[in-house]
Amino acid sequence: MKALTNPLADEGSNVAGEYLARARSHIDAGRPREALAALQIAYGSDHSQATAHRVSGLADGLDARKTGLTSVRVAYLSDHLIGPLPTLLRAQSLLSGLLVESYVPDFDTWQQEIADPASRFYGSQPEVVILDLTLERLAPELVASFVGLTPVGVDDLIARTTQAITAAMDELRRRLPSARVLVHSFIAPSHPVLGIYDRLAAVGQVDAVDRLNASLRREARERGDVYVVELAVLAAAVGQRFFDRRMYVLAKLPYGGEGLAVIALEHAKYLRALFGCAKKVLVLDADNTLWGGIVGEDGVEGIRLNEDSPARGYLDFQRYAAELARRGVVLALASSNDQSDVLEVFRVRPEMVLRESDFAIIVANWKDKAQNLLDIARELDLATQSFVFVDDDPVQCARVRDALPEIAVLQFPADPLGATDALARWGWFDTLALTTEDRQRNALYRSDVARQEFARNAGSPDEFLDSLGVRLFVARLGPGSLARAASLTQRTNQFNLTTRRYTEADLQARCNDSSWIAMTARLVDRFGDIGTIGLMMLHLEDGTATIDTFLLSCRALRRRVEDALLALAVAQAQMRGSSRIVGIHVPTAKNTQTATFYPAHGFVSLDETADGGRRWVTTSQITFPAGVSVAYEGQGW
Amino acid sequence: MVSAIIRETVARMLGLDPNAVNEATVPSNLEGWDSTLFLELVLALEERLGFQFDADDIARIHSVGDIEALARVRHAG
Repeated sequence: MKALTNPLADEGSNVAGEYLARARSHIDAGRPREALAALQIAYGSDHSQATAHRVSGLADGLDARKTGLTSVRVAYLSDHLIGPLPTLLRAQSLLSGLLVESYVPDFDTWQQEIADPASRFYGSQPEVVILDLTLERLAPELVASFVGLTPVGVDDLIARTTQAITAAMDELRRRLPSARVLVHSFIAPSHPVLGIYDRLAAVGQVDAVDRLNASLRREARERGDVYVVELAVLAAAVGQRFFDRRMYVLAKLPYGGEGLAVIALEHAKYLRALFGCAKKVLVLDADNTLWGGIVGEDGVEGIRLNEDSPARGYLDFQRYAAELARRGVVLALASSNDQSDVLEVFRVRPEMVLRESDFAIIVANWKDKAQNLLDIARELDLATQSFVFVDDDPVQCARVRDALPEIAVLQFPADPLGATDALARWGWFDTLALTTEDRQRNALYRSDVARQEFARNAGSPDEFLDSLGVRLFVARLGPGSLARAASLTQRTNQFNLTTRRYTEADLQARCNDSSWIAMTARLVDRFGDIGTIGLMMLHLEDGTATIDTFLLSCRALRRRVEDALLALAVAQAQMRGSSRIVGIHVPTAKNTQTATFYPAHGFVSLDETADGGRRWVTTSQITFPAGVSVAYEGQGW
Repeated sequence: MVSAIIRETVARMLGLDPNAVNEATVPSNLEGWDSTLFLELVLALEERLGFQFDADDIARIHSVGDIEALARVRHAG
């Protein structure tokens, strides 16, 4: 008999209960921000289905505008019931600052919903469509009457199944051109009927499903904005509990509780990546997180870092963090220690995988952790919303969760060997592309810290800027910069005038359209090449240029780059015959610093937009700021 | 202990005060009840209790007392 309760889960559940009650009273009292914080703490402390359900229900009382949440409309299309997937996704996404509204059609009506332009599905105006279909209904022969199928028959089944799905994809893309589509891949039976002969036979079940999935991936890639959710990978991680035949028999729900949890989490990863909520910074505690033991008590030589003991878990965790850093996650260290003790570990212990230089910033002191996290955010110029914090101490975890509920908090597990999985499974840092800038990001942030040193030693801010030697290189958006530009629209929240998120396919369409001017900007200063940091897109129509997108990576702020790029964008539009330049500002919880951008450059207020923004207009030229040089690079000028 | 977990889970799923749930509580009499919510409740209970109900038993659940009786049988077995 398995133990009935796990004391830690109970503690989480009690904490959750308390915060759920608080959330309820905040909602009743009209305090949506406090309610959101309480709901985030509740679900952050306890990821049980019951808590997810309650959090999702109470989130009805949150107003996206008043709480700074980004609302996302999701619709599910499927040939079975999906049970609690929408509630789990809603609770999970709330942790990342997304408020998900879902449309779930009646049982097995997905084809009618797609075919009928007046369906409630289209009426729900989904931004993300999740297509979850099963072989049992699409191609039952592959599952239940496989023996006797000929090679040609199997090829035909694969082609017909692929065709059924691509027809759905194309219809969705035609009627909902800006929606993103997530398609579930298929899973072969865990016990193919031909057993060990399955892989040897001219046609095997596993091979047939592999080929079907491969053709699905190919079709998705060709279309752009269609992503294949690899269900088999999720099922392998969960094991037998992924599916639940009882639930299928009772309710046409194929998945078990654990399957539902990982599927909803996988959907949440896509939503985060698509809507600018992926995490960017990993803040690590040191004692009992990077190594076993406490350096202040056990000494530099006494801490445990051994490949041949459970302490290997710390080294594995360091290796994983180093990999994350190479894919563009910014590492920071926040430890309750004397700084000299922590630095000595890096210098003295050769087993350490992470080096001092792998961290953008190292903070070791005796201040409050939440305060240290705020200091790190200020130093790196990144919002705490983009932080993941890992600490072994439950008190510190609770403290940070309570003070900064927007931070994802992971308590380093009691068994260090489980730590890498405990972090990796959340996919907090997942993105839909990997760019050169991503791979160089830690070096960029380290040079930022050097710049700040330089700034502190410089005289006035103007003297600092003049001596920084800022040079901008502006290029036409093109094939080589699409991935980075899409990633900028998805990641940039602070200096982003309209916060419109685009995928590579969206941007490609604008490159091919002569009524658009789309440009990227690369920044170089005396400390080096910072990479592509800005994107400007203007739509030209009847003598008016509308600035659809104007954004800057936060690494480029406060050095007059925004002034130079606005002057350049306006000049480009004027050269193309636009006498009126219209700038749009859509306020969000995070882009307050852009509120005065257009009026400060002489634009006058025109009108309000449907999405709560304001349009500003000018017919003048904008003066280029002193101390910033601008050059064009690449083709098309 | 098992009863406390069951009642707390039922209360959380249904948005009730845990003290308002007892063995006579019949979830299907409550507002907003539907078959999806019932299955979510079953999955949520199984997650907290650490075992799975048989399909036949699920079909026979009406009151919180029924759930507690099934859990007691499992616990004893």
